[in-house]
Amino acid sequence: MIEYLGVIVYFMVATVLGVVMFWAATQCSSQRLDLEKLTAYECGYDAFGEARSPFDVGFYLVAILFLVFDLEVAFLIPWALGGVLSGWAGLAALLLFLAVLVVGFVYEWGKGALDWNSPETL
Amino acid sequence: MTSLVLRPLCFNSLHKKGLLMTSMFFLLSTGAWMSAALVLRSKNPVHSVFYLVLTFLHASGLLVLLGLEFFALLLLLVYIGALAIMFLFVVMLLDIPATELMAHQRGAYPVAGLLFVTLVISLVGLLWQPVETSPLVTPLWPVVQGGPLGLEFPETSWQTAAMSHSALAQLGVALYGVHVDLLLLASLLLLVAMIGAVALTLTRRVHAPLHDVFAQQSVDYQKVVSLVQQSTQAKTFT
Amino acid sequence: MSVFFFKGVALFTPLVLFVMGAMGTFLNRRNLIIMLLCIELMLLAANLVFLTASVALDDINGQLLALWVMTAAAAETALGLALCVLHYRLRATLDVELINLMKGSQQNHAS
Repeated sequence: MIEYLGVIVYFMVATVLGVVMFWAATQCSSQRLDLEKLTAYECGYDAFGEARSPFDVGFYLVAILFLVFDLEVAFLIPWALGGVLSGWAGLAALLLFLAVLVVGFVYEWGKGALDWNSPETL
Repeated sequence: MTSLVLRPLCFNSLHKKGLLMTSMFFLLSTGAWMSAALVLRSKNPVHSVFYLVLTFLHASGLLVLLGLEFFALLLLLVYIGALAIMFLFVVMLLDIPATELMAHQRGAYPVAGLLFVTLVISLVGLLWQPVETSPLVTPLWPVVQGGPLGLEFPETSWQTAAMSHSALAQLGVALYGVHVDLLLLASLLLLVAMIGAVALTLTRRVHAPLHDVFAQQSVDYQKVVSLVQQSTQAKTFT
Repeated sequence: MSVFFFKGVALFTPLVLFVMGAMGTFLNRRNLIIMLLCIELMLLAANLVFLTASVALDDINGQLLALWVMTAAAAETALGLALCVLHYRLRATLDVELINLMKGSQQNHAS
């Protein structure tokens, strides 16, 4: 555990540095409070709608795919470190695991979830 | 690096080494509780997601204190890197109006009180229950070295075998040698997640502009230019 | 790990996290996404219990199950958020109190 002492010191220094910089910024800068500064500026008009604009579903689908393959790598790392000791049976299990995930990937690709503006999704 | 060996365990040395590690443990668990309470208290789902990220950070610090670096990094990578980002995407996707976000709290207080009573009872049970050894230890090394039937293992060889590999290597043996069924079930679960998400949320985008990138890139523009020139010449001659 | 530390501290932390998540599911019945966040909190607590017990009992099965719980949490979140998107498209709200279509219309009017 003692080898993490440097990490603790690093975190402490980073925290103290961040707090000091924010505090110095609030203390040293000149602030003139004004109510007009807090309003939304939209070319002289009042704001029409919400500032939050809805995202596309494609972002969510890409995040799903990233999550799934992230977990796949998390399952592969123990194989590379110790699962190789279990021989061909372990390798067969690994290949079966990968094959099941490839089925899902092929489905997603064929469905057109990865294309942004292709005619298949239209 | 001493963490490569599954010792019984780093946590023991944590308890012996005393004040710094124990105080770090208390600090991190208190931080996890406070950020979990903030997840529940905040009115805005975006703030809730960020406080959930803070809870995950504290939990990964706890795992580092336990000596499980792989799981600490996995918690950062999977929960914060993927799950929290997915939550943010969905919160942004749905465009919930601010009036609905600021809705008043209403809850089933009897059920929550029942859960609180459960907390107290389980706390009492936790302090009374004997936990000394596990009756369900997986026999790892017979499977590796001699198969399930070759059970000729003196105590020393097991110990040297167990000490000569890291905890992560033992996890690999347990995952790919003993509990292959769990591995395949996990792959099926991930498959269900992928296919279900695509089948539920993917819709046809009607108003999107149509760009076939391959068709655009594969236009032979020399032919197009010569065709236009011929037609304009024909027009000027007539 | 001493027995006092294991029982009193190392298992108490995820226990409180779990009950916070469970209580949040019932106390904050506003939004489906917040309920999903509370379920994430409960799964994190389960993961912490598995890993702590794995270290304390010197058994690798706890880490294996923790990896599995992580997978299950990922799949559950993906599908839950997909259902959120779908329900929002159909009803344009995520209010939990308004998801009562299966109750029937008469009880709807009565309440």
